[in-house]
Amino acid sequence: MPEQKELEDNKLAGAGEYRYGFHTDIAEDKPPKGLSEDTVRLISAKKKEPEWMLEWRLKAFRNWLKMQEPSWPNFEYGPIDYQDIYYYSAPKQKNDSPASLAEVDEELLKTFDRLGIPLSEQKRLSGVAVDAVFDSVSVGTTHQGELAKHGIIFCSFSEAVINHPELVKKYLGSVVPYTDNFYAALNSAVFSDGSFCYIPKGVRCPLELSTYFRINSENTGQFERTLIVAEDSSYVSYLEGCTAPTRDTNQLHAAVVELVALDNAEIKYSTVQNWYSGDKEGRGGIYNFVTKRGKCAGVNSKISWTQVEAGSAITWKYPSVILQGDNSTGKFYSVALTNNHMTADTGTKMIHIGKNTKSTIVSKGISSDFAHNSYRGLVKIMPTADGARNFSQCDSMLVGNNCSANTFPYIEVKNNTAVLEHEASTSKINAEQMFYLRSRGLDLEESISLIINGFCKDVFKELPLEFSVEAVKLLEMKLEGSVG
Amino acid sequence: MMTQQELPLNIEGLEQYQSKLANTSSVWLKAFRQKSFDQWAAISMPTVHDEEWKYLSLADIVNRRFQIATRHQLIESKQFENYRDKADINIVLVNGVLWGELSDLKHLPHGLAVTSLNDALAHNNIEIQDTISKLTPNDSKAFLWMNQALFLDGAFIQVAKNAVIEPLVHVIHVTSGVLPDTILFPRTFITVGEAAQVNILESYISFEPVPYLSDAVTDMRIAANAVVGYCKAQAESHQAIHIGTTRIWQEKASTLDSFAFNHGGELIRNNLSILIKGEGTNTIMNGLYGLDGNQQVDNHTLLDIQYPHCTSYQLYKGLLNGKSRAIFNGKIYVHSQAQKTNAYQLNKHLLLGKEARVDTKPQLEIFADDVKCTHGATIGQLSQEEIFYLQSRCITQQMAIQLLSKGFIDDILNTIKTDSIRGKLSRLLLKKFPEVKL
Repeated sequence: MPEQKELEDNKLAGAGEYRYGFHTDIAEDKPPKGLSEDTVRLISAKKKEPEWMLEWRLKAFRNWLKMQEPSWPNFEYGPIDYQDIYYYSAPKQKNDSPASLAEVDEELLKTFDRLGIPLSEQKRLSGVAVDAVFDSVSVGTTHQGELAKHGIIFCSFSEAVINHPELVKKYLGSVVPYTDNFYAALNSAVFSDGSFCYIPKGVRCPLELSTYFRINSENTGQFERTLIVAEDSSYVSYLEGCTAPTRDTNQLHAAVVELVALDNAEIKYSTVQNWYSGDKEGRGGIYNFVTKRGKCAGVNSKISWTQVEAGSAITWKYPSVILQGDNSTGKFYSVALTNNHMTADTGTKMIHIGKNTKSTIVSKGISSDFAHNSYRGLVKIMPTADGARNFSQCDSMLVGNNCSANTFPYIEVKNNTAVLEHEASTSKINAEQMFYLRSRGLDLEESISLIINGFCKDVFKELPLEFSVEAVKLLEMKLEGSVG
Repeated sequence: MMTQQELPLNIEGLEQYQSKLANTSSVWLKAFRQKSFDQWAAISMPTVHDEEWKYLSLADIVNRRFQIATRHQLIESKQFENYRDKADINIVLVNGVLWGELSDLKHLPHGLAVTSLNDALAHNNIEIQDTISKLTPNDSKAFLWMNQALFLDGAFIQVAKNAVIEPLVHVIHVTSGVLPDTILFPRTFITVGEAAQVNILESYISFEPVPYLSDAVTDMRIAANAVVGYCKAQAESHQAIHIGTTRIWQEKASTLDSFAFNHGGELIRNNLSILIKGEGTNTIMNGLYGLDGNQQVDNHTLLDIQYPHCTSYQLYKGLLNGKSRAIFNGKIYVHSQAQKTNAYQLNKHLLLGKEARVDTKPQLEIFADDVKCTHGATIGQLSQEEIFYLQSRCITQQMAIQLLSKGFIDDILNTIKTDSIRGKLSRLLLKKFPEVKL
């Protein structure tokens, strides 16, 4: 596989370093910095959006102006100057909208090749359809023809607004309204692109759908929006990956992801997040402030979030599930790995509304160097949720004595037929296990890698195969040299 | 001087009361009260928007107009006599004032000294002053400062170095003969000397159906190698509101076996914070709440571990009937120098009532790597399989439920090592849950 070779090459070049830190030199279409109603109008105009979309953005923007930046997290970050950010940055294309991938700029295709995401016809990964997002725009979506045969819509958000307004109108903001929180409101006002995915009734999506996000331009904020709708009895597995160049300044990434699962539908959403996390002294890196939420609207529906959080200076996200339909199921599997000066405050919310709803939470946090890793979760059982069931497990591992691991699980029960279990533990790598492995000839790093892999296994086995391999490699690379 | 309206809480005749307090106080106490009052006056009462008070609304308290207790006399003595035990050393405080006639102050065992807190402070007790200056206010600043500014008296209990006190020391705070909407400020200060051993039960009781607010504070300092058993039993009448702050300072290689028992009252909040100030300590913090009707109980515990080689064990259990509501927030904070910490925390609830409600948050904040810390929480009903098992052995369903509920409670009750305390708590539970036949 070409991808595999790329991986090896990069590994040789700089072991343990961030290997997606390169910058692509490409002509950009970049309106001036700053945020005002005009910025919102400009983005909307660039996207040639219909009037109703602009109205929605403006409503969100006016609402955002009234909101306060949240102050509750237990981490510190420098003040964000919202006027000092480029809200739109697109690579200049030969013509305005490339009709097919063949017309996409060579430089762009090369960038994605280097990232291990070949977009061109002959090199494509079989079995995975990719929507590639570069700064503020989607540069291309593969396998569209094959998907169309099944009636599946998989395209960039801008295309969806123009080609499928009735669907976008119906579901946009139905799970994360623009009033939800500070960053969701900001995103709603200025979101530039993202992916839209619609699976019709009874269709089992034959391919893994995937979006690859790349921040390239300096001082830009990336605000993308993903909306996935699974109609009755359909199934889709969706993957998301992200990287950014190495820079000294912090960049803001505030995305919104909405999932809607109707009767008997199932959505599997997997993320391997590897934004640039800053250097050893904690300079630079991405602020990853993301709102992700799914709604199990129909009976027997299922939504599962699987995430591997290995990048970003600060990760602040809580992929949640609203379990509205009776017998619906929500799952959350997470590995958060932090090293150097990274901070991860992540977890989930499971809101049980329907009868016999079930949720499972498995969260593994690994913290090394000067990093802070927190699990923050909410399990809420509403009075209507008879027979609700939840199992939560969050384990933390500390490597070194300057890092921290915190757990903040909120459990709120308003129905006496609910059954909940929550358990959490914090520990270091077991000395006896280490001794056992070392005595059998494994070196220090191999032993640690094996133990960490075992620690995270519950989560990795939930990932699609391609991602699983990548996640394990990512973990090994991150921990290289940090343990001893 | 601030006017009444601007203070966090509405209290009638506050100025006269304060000038009365000022007349009788020592210089240190006067300054201490004034400082606390200024701190209190500058803040507002916590609301549900404060993280630590998220689930407990004090709106009802803030809107009431309180008055200060003027009479300190025990009215209902029969039930009171039933509650206390002749074998114990009873220290009785009526409406926050130490009551010599009802207390066993004359024949105290060697090594135990009990005085009124007012007397101790009037004579500039250095130990109290030093400890109070070191203890930080925990989540209930408003109530702690209010108590410090306005407490009238309290009990000061001293256990001398190496003393072993055999009988149970029973501090009884009884509220009696107060008018509706009275506010009380019970205060207890306990010091346990090096290598001393003592068992203390602190009870808060009342028998008259009058609504009142008890703003209680207990501070305890445990010196090195001491072994202390401490139980706080709260069994006040149904209209009572109890906001309690307990702060414990634990030094090197000392052992604390604590138990929090919540039983009576309309709204109860306990803030228990234990500061670990030495290596190799051992801490047990257990608790049980049996609730029914519209009762609300909020237990906030904090274990702050600053030294290595410490172990802790925490188990809180709740039995909820009717529309009652339980809130639990257990925080364990392990500082980076506190290596080899072993901390265990568990919170279990049994929901018997249809509309019972639970909000729990077991919380770990860990900055040291060589530690073993676990926590857990469960919420549920009785297991249908367990009931079926018993039924299949010819035990009626009702009997099976009784047996299993009893098992749920006995599990925690049996961790109390002092028979006399366990007996008292069982009797209280039996009265409240006769159908469970505990």
